[in-house]
Amino acid sequence: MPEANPFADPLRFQRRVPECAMVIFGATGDLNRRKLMPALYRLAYDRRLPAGFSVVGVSRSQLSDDDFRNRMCQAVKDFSEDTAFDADVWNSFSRGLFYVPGDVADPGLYQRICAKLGEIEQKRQTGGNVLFYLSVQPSYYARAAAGIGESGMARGNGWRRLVVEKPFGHDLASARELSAELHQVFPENEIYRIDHYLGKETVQNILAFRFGNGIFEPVWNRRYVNHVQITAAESIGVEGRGSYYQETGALADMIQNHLLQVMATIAMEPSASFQADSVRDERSKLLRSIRPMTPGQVVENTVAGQYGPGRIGGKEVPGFRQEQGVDPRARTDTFAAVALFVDNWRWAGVPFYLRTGKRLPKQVTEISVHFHSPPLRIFDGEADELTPNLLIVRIQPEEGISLRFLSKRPGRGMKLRPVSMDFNYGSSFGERSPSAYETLLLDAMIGDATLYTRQDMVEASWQVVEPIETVWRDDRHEPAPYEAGSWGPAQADEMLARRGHVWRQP
Amino acid sequence: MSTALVPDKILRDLSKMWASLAHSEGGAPSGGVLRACSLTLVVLAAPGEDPVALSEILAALMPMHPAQAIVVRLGGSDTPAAEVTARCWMSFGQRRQVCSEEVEITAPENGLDDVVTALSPIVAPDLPVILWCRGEQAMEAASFGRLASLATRVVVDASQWPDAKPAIQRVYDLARHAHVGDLAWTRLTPWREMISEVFENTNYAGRASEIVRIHVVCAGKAPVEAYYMAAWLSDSLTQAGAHFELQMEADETGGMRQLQQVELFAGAFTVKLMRLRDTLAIEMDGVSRCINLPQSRDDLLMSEELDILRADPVFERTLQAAARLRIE
Repeated sequence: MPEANPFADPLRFQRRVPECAMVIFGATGDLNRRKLMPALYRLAYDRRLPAGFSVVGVSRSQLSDDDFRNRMCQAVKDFSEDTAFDADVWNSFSRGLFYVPGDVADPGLYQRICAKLGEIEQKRQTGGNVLFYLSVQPSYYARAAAGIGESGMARGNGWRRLVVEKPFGHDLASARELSAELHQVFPENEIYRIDHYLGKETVQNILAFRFGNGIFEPVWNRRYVNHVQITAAESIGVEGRGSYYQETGALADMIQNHLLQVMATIAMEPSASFQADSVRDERSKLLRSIRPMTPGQVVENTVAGQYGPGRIGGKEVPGFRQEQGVDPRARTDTFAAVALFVDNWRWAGVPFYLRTGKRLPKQVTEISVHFHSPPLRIFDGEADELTPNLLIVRIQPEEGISLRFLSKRPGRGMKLRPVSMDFNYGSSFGERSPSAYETLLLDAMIGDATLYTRQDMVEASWQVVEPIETVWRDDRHEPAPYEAGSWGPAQADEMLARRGHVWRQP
Repeated sequence: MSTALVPDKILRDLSKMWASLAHSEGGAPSGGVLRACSLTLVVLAAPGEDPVALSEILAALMPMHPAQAIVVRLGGSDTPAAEVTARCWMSFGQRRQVCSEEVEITAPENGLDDVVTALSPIVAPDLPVILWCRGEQAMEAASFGRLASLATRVVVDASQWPDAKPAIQRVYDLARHAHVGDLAWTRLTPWREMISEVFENTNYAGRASEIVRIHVVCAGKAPVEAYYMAAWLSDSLTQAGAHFELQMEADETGGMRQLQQVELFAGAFTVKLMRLRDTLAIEMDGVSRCINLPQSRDDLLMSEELDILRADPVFERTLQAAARLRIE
């Protein structure tokens, strides 16, 4: 048990990150340049990183430490959206950046990384703590983990953790296989599977909203909730990732991970504490309670769509099959809508509608909880004016929570009108929200896995998604076309209409 | 619109103002504005304080902590009066204006008693009330205690007062009756956080007791910040069981009155923090690091204080230690 720090001031100081080094595999890649390095620089700027914090970049390109520092400097300048570039902070931070060139398949690479880490541990007092970050193609995950293990780097003077990016397999079997390979080197509690959606402030705020307040829990169940909608819409197309995307599709790319995690957060049972495993146990239980579909139910409760050409913002945009790198006969789902049911006492019979897609009218992610109508209508009015209560959790772009309820219009008579009570994250807490990667990297360094996905959650998600994929991959199945810039195929509207529901337009 | 200092009248004016903000210029209901209020901030302006400068501070502070702001100016008029306005801003990328209300009260120099009576009914119910006292004169008024008792917390800036030791004593006296914050203490957060971080490192954890000498250097006559730093270090090290010598060095010829450098000497290691322009550098056993030192602007300092709506135990302990500190 380390001795208490006499200088600690938890009321004012941020959570402290222990001294450590981070090894980034794929350090010259897009993810590192666009997300990881700007996030690390911002953490340094906000004085969240320990003095000796170091990064060892690993990639195939032959670069010196200085070349790597220069490239990362440019990346920080190009991709830090809301952080001023401060030369003094950068110079101090960049002294901790190192580079080791090599191929992930080459065993010699790991020996060189190991030697570099030993050197850093001595010079920069990193205490032997190392965070390995696999920012490489998923097909290299197992090889990189094995290399780390064979070189002895998975154990050392301090803690050793491994961060992996999605996809965690492309189906249940491959997810299990990957997990087994990673577990040969790292135990489950040292593997951090990153899902950047869970790092978003509003997703975390769902937990605060549900379990920090006493007034919502009593109505958070089938007696009061009619249905729930979760929408993650993107206005962009595949943006040069056509060849990758046509192998994945919207269901696997978004619903299998991000949206099911969001659904688990909105629907899980209260956890006994805010300890990582306690929260993750409840998320996992919820995911396991989602009813897997039979092939007949897949037809009834899911819609796959694919965008065709259209006009957005006055410009012609190509259809998916016309995108660069995409097979002109590809049957990939660029839109997916599913109706899921949770088999537990709280949610039995309540549909959870999840939809996501590319080339939709705008970029928006939100959850809407639709409550039942009052049992008796005592006021006159048009049906669409007497809308039931609605709770909206906006995840992006304008993070916040709104509650819609009916109010009397001023004047004579009893005419009702829906009004909205808004909580807006940006206006209530004017301070800047950290990016999802800042939050998640910091959590991994601190050892807080609450916002990371555990293997049982990955498997539970695949158990939900795989029966749908099996039907969708059948040669007889064709995704429904929709016009770019629309809210998806008409079949998605019909799917809700069968239960008397309509998609909320965000 | 200026009005008499009558709470009901002020509240009616505020209601009218919010109703008018919900309507567009043509009189038809518009999308409205988002009304935001997370606390009441009562600002007791310093005598003769530039209203424009204070307004700019509040404009910068409000998006961070939307509040009902009540600005009190004593000596600004012969009869007490109040004026209500809205302070609105458009958050980046958002569609609706966010507004918070502001009441400016002017009263004769000896009119604090009337102001305190009027304040109680107009502060936002159920929310914290923070009193920001920007001058020391008003603190001498007989009714200042009543005003402080309305507040969840009182914030001062002792570094604005001429002599450090009496200033600390005054803050200490105030803290016996209210939860107090001091912007002079807030300025030290980045320094303190960096020192604390050193002792989070496994190589140094538990080694604070080895420190034998503290050296605090400041430019100009020793400011309140230097005393607070010395007191905090002394108190923390005493708790850790260290036996140390405290030295404070003031370079009275040296420009702006501020903390310049802090050094902690142990037999086996030294920790040195230095202000370098707008950055703070730390050196420790050959490892150095430089961080961006936040600007010492009142809105930023106050924003940190508004995050604390209760007692601040570390500051309270430091304040006691500072009041006891004997340094020549």
